[in-house]
Amino acid sequence: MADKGTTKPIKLRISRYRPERSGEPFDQEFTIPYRDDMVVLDALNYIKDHIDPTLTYRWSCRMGICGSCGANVDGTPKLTCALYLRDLKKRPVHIEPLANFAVLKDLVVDIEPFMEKLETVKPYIIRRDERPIERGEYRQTPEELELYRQQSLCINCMLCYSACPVYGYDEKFLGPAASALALRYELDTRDQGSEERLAAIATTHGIWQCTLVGECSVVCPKDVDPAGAIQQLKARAATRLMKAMLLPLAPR
Amino acid sequence: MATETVRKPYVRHRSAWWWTKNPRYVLFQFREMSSVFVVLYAFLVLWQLWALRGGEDAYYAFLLMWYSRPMMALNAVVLAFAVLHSVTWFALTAKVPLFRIRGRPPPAAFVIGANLAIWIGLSLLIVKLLYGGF
Repeated sequence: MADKGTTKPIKLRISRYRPERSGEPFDQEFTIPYRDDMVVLDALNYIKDHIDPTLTYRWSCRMGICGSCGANVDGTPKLTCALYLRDLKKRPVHIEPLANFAVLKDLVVDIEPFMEKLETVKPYIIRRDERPIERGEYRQTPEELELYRQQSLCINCMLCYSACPVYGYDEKFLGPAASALALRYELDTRDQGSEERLAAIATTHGIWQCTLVGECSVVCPKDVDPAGAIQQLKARAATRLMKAMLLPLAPR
Repeated sequence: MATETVRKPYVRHRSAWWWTKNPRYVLFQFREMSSVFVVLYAFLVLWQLWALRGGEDAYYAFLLMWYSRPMMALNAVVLAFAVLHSVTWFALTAKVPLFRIRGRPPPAAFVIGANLAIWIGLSLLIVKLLYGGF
């Protein structure tokens, strides 16, 4: 059997931005030895270790759970640790920073706007009747956990924001991951903060700005389905509004 | 000594042709654009009613125009966009599960299929009411 190790070299075109030197980002080509078990992150690491130590990008776990190695590869937002070079048809492979975010250096983008959005959805359990700690934890059945498990799997990799044209159009938009996080708490039986959370997100720049392109759910590496989450939140917000109009005195 | 940081976030310009890069973005743009054609058709129907109010001659003149080739072509385009609008809208229904079966949301294919079946059934019923048997 032929050795599956090194075969012919592979070319990558990587977007570089050096704030201290150049004004504009530019593309730089690298040629590296190729193995068919290489993921895109391996290629970036090879370049940093052997060719250009100034190449800058984020990564940590190398196993698709830390959410830090996202980049646009051939135009599509991907976790670079989970994307095999052998599955990419175009040569050279084009690697750019995640779209819709400001670039800080090379493939590193400014995640600050995203972090602020996460805070606005009140991503914690809100209780009206806080129980004293001696009475123990709020318990849930496996079925109750299952209600929000899907939305709780988000790793904050921001691929969905990179894929969202609405966010690309208006950075004030709450966006996919933060909305999915809001639904995760909406569906949690321990939570009693629906009123204030929905009030915070059912706004012009909140869930109502989503026009359901749906690409966020396509690129999501954890199958969180943020597009679906936003539609469910819209339905909840609309139901709430209708109830308030038709039954103004009923408990919500 | 404090180190000076050079932080110059670079905001990239998005091309007006961003949507041509991905077939799903193209479909989205067409879906959004379909609403223009749906509104246009609503105006055509209002025009038809207005012609009807003008009496027999006015309505006959309207019908002559209505069945002309350019109007038939326009109607075909409107129909295509209306179908696109409806089908993509029904495809969204599965995203909002209103009920659960054994703790799980119903399968998307079932929800979309049921909605499409009801839509086609009602459409056929309307055609039957308007034009009689098949």
